[in-house]
Amino acid sequence: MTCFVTVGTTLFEDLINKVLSEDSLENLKKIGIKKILLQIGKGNFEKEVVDRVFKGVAENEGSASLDGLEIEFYRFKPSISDDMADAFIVIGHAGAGTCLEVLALHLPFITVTNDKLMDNHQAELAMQLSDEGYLLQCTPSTLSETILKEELFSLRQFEAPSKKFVAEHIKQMVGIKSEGS
Amino acid sequence: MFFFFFSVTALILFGVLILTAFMAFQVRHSNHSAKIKPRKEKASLCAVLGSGGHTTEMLELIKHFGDEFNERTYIIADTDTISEDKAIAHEKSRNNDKYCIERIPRAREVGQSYLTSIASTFHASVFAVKLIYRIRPDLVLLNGPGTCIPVALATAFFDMIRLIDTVIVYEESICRVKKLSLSGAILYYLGMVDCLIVQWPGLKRKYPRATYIHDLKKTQDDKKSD
Repeated sequence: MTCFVTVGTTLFEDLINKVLSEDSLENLKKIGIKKILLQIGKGNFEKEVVDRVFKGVAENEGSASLDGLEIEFYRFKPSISDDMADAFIVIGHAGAGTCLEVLALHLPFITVTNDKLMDNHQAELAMQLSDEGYLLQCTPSTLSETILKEELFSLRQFEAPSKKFVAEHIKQMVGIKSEGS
Repeated sequence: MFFFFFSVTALILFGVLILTAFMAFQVRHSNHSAKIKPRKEKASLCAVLGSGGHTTEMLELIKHFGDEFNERTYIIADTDTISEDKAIAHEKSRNNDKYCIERIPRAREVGQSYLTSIASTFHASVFAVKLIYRIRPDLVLLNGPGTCIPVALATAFFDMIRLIDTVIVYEESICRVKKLSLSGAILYYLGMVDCLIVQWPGLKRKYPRATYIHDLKKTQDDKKSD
């Protein structure tokens, strides 16, 4: 029962701090999470979080355990797909690449939009996906309530539009004989 | 006096010529007209690879093409090495070595101002014209990066003067939900593309001449059941 948290290559300190806030940890425990794995990118934890969770030391990677919760973090990995596939739920930034990757795995997914970024056009996709019920969207300040929402475990499954038909259509336009006809 | 009238008449006639060529181009390339094209066995393909997500999406589409596209050209912005690696890896995976990679100066860096981007687009256009004249593709695939505008304009130009007969397809990224990207909007309003594929219903409502990706599935299912 792992909760995987990812910020991609962005700097998003609000997200990593809020996930480890007392409210969020409490709520994550309520839904049965035993381990939290964070990919924190360039950001750093707040001093309060470092003191409370990691007992004062948090460098480029580390781990801690807190009231029966295992917490581990690292900055970057060449590929985070394995960590993602092992997760029970995923909390991530609203980047398009991350969204599509998690939705392809059909995992319960919360995207957190960085409300401090102006004109964040990447969030457009996350907004549309949440309107259609494929994922839950929130901001850092509403994260802990969002974790408890029941909809998280009854999200619709997203099927990315298949490019096969596009390719077929293009072949017809160019005038190439397709195998079928 | 005579010279004055002569040049005015010449200018008007030239304008009429251009307009006719442009309208003929639009009729040939509109989605609505039924087209009778010579059936070919093989065709050449030219794809513009952008950066990051654009390249991934483009290769996702190209994956579904087989040996019918036996000549492939990838056009890559000057400064982009990751896209080149991805394209080479893709061609290796299907054991094909008949492809080439062309480099073109960037039309617009992310965040460049509109004024200077006109100059650099012109510079890139000169490259694109030479390139398209040399490779004469049957199909040009575009999906968003700034580089694709000069390539589309060059292709449309040679198609207008009937040197080549090319299908231009633009696929909008899945990230675009409410508004076409700048490149997409330019090509849509100029009517330069045969087919502009959008991935969200909101875009189809706003730009009715675009093709909605899920409609393609339906029309092809219908054809099979006939």
